[in-house]
Amino acid sequence: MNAVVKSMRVDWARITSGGWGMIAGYMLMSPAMMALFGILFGGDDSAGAIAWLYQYISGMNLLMFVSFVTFPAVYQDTGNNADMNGLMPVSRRNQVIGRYVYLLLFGIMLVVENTVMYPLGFAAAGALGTMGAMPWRTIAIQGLVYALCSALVLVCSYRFKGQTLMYVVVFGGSALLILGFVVTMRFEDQVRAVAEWLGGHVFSSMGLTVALGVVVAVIALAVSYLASVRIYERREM
Amino acid sequence: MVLDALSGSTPFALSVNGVSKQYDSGFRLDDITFDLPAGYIMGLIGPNGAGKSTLIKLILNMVRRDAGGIEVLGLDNIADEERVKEQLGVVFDSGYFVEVWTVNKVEQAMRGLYATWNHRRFEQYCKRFGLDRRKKVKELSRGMLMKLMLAVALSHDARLLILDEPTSGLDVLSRDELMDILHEYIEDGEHTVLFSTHITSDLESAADFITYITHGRLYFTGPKDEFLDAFRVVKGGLADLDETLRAKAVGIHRYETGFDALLRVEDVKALAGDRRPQLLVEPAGIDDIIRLTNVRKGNAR
Repeated sequence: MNAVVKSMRVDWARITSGGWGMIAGYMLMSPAMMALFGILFGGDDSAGAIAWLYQYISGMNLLMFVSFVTFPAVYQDTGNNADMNGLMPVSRRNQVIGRYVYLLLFGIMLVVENTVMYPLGFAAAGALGTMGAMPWRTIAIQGLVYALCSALVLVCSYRFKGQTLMYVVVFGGSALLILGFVVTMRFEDQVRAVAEWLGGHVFSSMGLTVALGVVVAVIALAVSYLASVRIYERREM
Repeated sequence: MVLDALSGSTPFALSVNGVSKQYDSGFRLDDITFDLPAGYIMGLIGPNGAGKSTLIKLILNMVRRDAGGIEVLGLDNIADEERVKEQLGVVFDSGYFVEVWTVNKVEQAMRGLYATWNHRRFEQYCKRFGLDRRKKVKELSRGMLMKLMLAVALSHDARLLILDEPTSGLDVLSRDELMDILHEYIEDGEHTVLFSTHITSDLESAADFITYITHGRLYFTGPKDEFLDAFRVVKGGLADLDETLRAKAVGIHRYETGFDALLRVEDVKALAGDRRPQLLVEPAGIDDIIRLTNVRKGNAR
């Protein structure tokens, strides 16, 4: 039996510690909300409302999937469960690989769910005919944001424990958002100029944009993985 | 049986060679070396803070060693970590399962880790130990939690069982039951136990070998009988506590009306030559040896 698979099995037991119902609830909440609001907003002129709603619910779904990535670390930090990592016949590197495989699997599930949710909302509203094109750009950006956020959160889960991890994710995340907002406001002209240049020279080409997004995601995940292995192999349990 | 092991005909289940570990706190485990032949029980003893748990964590590669080497069943514990841990069963003094897991969920998590997991055996141990498979880990008493860890360790045919203070907080019946299980476990000569404890009465009957660590240093390693035969406790009144006795004693505990001193057997023989009939000489128990080799210096004045 492959060591990475063994590690993933233990992590799966941790992820489902609260029961399968909780996982199913987490997984299905966003599509269920999309369908529910679709029914509530149903009508011929609902296309705008559904498209607007989709931005929020799919964004919320993105945060939910990023939080999934921390589940094994959160449960292992309860009691002495972290000791189990020292006993299992899986090297530390293979344990880390298992978590990054989960990160990728959750990413695929997020993209699939967010792809299905859009037509689902329109179908629930009885306005599938007015749906128009799929919001691939939004879905691609969400995929990239998920890769960046989860890469950062996962490496933090190796550096920080339990409650500290929560503080780092919540307060660190908020601080980054505020910093981004302040920088944008303070250097509005420069930011606009850079954005216009990127829009004209890079994002104007769909192929180049996708390639750049993939490269950024791969680099972020690779750096995160190497940092996680380095931190975890040096950690004393 | 122990003589066979010492003659070198028995392979070692565990070899610790010159292992050292320095912590930032200042504590140092210094140059620990011992061998545990396969098919025996070794007691790892020492007072609290002596370094027993650190040594076990070094064997499990849970903390990094600064020097030395460790081989488990002939394999390097770091280079062959996954193969080594396939064959290890571990019982800690506190549970390592997620507290909201049920006993069933524990099996579900653990069986995925070991190719040799035996569901039927786990079921048998659950029945023998009275473990309710629907109960959550947090609902189990300390004794039942220890039994659950033991059931897990024994259900994947671990060849080396490492127990870190498993009996602390257990009643005498549970401790006896554990000893019975350990004896059954090593019966075939293939399985081995390293048992860390400061409840030394557990070891008086069960252990074949003793490794005694104090203040991070190895004090003794070898057959238990040799350990016990090496020392005697000498008791007397305060007037008998002269310079000769002080110089020969490994440790002395003074109290209001007299003293207990730990002496090596050869020194006791020398004292007998001095004709001191008022001194009482008794065999030393493991507790006596630990107590009197760790006696505070002020106590001996």
